[in-house]
Amino acid sequence: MTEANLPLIQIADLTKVFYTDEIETHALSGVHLSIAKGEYVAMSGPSGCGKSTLLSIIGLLDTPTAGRYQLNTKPVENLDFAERARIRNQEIGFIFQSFNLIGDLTVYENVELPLTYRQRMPSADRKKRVMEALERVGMAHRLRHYPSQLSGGQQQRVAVARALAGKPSILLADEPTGNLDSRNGEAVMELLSDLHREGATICMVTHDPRFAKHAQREVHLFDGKVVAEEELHKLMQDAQV
Amino acid sequence: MTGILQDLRFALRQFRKSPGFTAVSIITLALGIGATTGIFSVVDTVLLHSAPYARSAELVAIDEKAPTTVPGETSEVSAGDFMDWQAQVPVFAGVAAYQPWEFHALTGGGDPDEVWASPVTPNLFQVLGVNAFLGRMFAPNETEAVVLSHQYWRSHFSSDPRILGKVLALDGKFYRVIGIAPADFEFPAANAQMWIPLTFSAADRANHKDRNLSVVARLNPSVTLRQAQAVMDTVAARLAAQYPKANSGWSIHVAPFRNPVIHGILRDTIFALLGAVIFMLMIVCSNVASMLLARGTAREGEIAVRAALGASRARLVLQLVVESVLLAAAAGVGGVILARSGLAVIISLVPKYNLVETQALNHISMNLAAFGFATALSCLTGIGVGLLPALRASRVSVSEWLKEHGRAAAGARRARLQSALVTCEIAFALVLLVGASLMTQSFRRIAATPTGFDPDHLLTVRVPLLNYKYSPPQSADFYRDVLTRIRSIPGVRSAGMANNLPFTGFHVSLALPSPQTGSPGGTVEAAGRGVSPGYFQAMGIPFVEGRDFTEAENRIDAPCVRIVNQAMARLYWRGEDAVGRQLPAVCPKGASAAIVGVVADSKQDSIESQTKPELYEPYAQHPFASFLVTFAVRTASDPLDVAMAVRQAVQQVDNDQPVIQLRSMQEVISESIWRQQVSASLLGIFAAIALVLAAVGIYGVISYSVSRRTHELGIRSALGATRRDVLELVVRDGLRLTLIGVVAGITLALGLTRTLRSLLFGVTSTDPVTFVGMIVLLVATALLACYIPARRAAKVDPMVALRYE
Repeated sequence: MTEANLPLIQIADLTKVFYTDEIETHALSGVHLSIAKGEYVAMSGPSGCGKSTLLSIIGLLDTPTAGRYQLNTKPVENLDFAERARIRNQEIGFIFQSFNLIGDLTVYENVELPLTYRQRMPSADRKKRVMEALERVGMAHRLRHYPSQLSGGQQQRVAVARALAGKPSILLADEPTGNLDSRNGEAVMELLSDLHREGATICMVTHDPRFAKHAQREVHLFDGKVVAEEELHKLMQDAQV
Repeated sequence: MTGILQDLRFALRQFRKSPGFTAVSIITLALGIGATTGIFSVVDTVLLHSAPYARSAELVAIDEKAPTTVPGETSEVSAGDFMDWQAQVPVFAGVAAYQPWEFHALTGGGDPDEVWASPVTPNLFQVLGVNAFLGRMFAPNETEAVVLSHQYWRSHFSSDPRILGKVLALDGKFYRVIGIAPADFEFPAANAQMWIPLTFSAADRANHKDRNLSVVARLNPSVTLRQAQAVMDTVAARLAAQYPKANSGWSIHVAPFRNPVIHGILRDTIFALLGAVIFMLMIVCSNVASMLLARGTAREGEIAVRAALGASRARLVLQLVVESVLLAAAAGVGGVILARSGLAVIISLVPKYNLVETQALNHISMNLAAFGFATALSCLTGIGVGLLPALRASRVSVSEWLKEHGRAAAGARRARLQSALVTCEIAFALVLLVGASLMTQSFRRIAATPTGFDPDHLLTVRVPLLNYKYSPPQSADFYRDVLTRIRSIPGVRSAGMANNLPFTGFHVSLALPSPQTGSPGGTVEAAGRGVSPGYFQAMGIPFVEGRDFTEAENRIDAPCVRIVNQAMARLYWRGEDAVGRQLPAVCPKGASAAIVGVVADSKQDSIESQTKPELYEPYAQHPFASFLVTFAVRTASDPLDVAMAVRQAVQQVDNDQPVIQLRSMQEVISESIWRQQVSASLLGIFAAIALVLAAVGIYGVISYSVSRRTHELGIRSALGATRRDVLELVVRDGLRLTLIGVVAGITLALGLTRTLRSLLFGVTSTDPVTFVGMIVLLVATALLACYIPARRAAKVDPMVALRYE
């Protein structure tokens, strides 16, 4: 396998256990997952199945309890805080369900924010990147607005621009339509599809099958494990019974 | 009423639930209230306290002015004129006279002592409308009675009421103690320790020329000041016609009677301290208001529920203000305790022997006015610190909060207000720091300024001579005998005496003929000091030229010789040899004096004062002002080790002789700069508290900001901000507030420190080093205060902040 064909993300036997008081909660149990460069993957499953935990580990917001995780062929499961912050900043673009824009910053400043954490990036470069990202999502005309002056759909497009501005290796979207009405939700999904067509690697968490269909591949999680689609249906039926 | 009681009960419950917040708030407020109350007591006692005179508006001061009297200057009154007014002027219900003070040797009441007694006409207390605290005041024509001041009765006779009826000897003359004056009666000045009857001989009554009396009168109730003046104009014309030699051209002036003006420099010091405590109180209030704002955020839920249940905004504000007033009330109790302790410390620092600058300071106490002030201040502070946070907190949108906890919008408003408060705190703290630093530097420079003599290993002791026992030649013999005995005490290296010592608050001014090179016909002012042979050696003042007085010269009939300091030699002889020169018109009968020596310049009145030309004369040639005679004894070791032997040496010559104020020269110097030391120390304490409070304030604001921004910091962290980035972000916010406060503080300080000019020595009120130093200190402290919450912010886990899973 050549380096170009190597998966962007490779996860093997990943486990995440949460400890609260004397209770152990196994959020992920022996997850294996591989995402190739340019792939658009949707992760779905019922509430509490571990899909957001998995996404946060992929996004280096959290660390696994056990298992291996390689990003761009480099093991990242045991990095320190500063190194994880550096990789998040350069390799990963986040799109959150609740947008997570900073209310006191303008649209422009919000999109510029991750670039300000890159050392020695000239402001002219930052500006170019910000404007490109905003134009890409159709929000360049609102760059002096504050998030509270935008609709939910517009805020999510700004969040997408912020994720794009850093030119990351992968976009991680956690229920990106969860706080939007269906029209705005559909628009955001179209935007993600367009980005994928332009070559972006996307990993999206959703529980809505309509939006999951936009992805090339769907990964199903149930009780912290990756399962096949048929198995998921069976498990869910069993659970209902 | 029931509502307020419920609020009080609820407030107490709230305080029990948050003991940390409650304790910090009460302590902070207590510091502000205590310091302000303490300084108010000083202001009230020294500057505001009105004399305890009955119907004081009826009291007038009457003086006489010569045609040559400069406007604003007053002249005293002759006994003859006073007796005329007393007998013949009907517009007054009473006219009384007094002389400011006289020194007397007191015997017959414990250790011999020197006292300040003010001779007053027997009707003075009646004219002023002052009754005795104990016993009675003078009866008409009473001559051998004395009224003690309350303070002297307390300090010298331990408040023993049995002193009434006892006989005391003042300069050998006997007076029976008939009464104790009220504690707040200070007439004509705070230092008067007793009052004796002022009587007039037949010759005095006929004397219209020698004016040495001050006169106070009470107007008849129906008479105005203008009417009294018109009557006195007529009286002046009549007296001028009757006694043209003594009264021609003299006018009489009637003016409202006022208390003596407090020493200007003391007043300036008190005002500086008052300004400092006001700033400190504002810092305290900003701090507590800031804490209450933060607390308002934490209580939004409770307030929203109350509002949802129908509480009006006014009701909510009242509830919150009741809480802050309760806090301030508790702080008020603490403040009063602090003020009492602080005042006790201040009073303990007031010099015992400084005779001029300490007016009224010994009477400072937490009186009823101070308690009233503390109560009012506590209420106002409680309302002041609580109202704004209460108005903010009560503005919570019920529907918004119930839906989304309404955090973002209200939080932002409060953060802005808190930021404004902390900016004010920093500005005020900088003003206090700069003021305190200027005063401290000023004090240090004063303390380090050479005095011109050697104060180490030098004992000083006042031996005010019993004038009634000794004629001038006898007094010279007395001192010669005592000096011989002192010099023979083991451990004494040298000893001398002077009719007054530097830095004791007194000096003798001489008007000398101008030097030949100066303006012809004019005079120059010089300090005068009568000294014994050996004085310069004992004081450690070196001779630049010539020699000391000899014992043969220290006699009343010896040839007139003088020693001058360098300043005087420069003034008269411009650097040429002074020894052997003649100084005209400084000896009795206008004779010239031969200069036998020139000594180095030394400070006379105070360390800050410029050295004046000074003329020294052998004490025995001019033994005036013997009440201030002080020995200077240079010792081999601790000067106080020989104090008892010195006392015995004096008493071996005369057992009745007061031997007072035995202390080292270092103590004399310390007492001469006590005001600067106390003001620098107090300002230093206030500034240190202000610095701590400003740091706490900025810590509180940044902490609050960090807790409010946890989610935002989580987003930043998720987007790749390192811990250092977050740390810098938070510290930058604190630094921004600090710098705004610093800019405001510099502007304020530049304006306000000008008022300290009269109190500074060797440093200007705009000293750039002081400003820069204090800014650096404040900014460094603020950065440290920011660093703690910033570190906490840097540790925010993005997962927790973003509430995944």
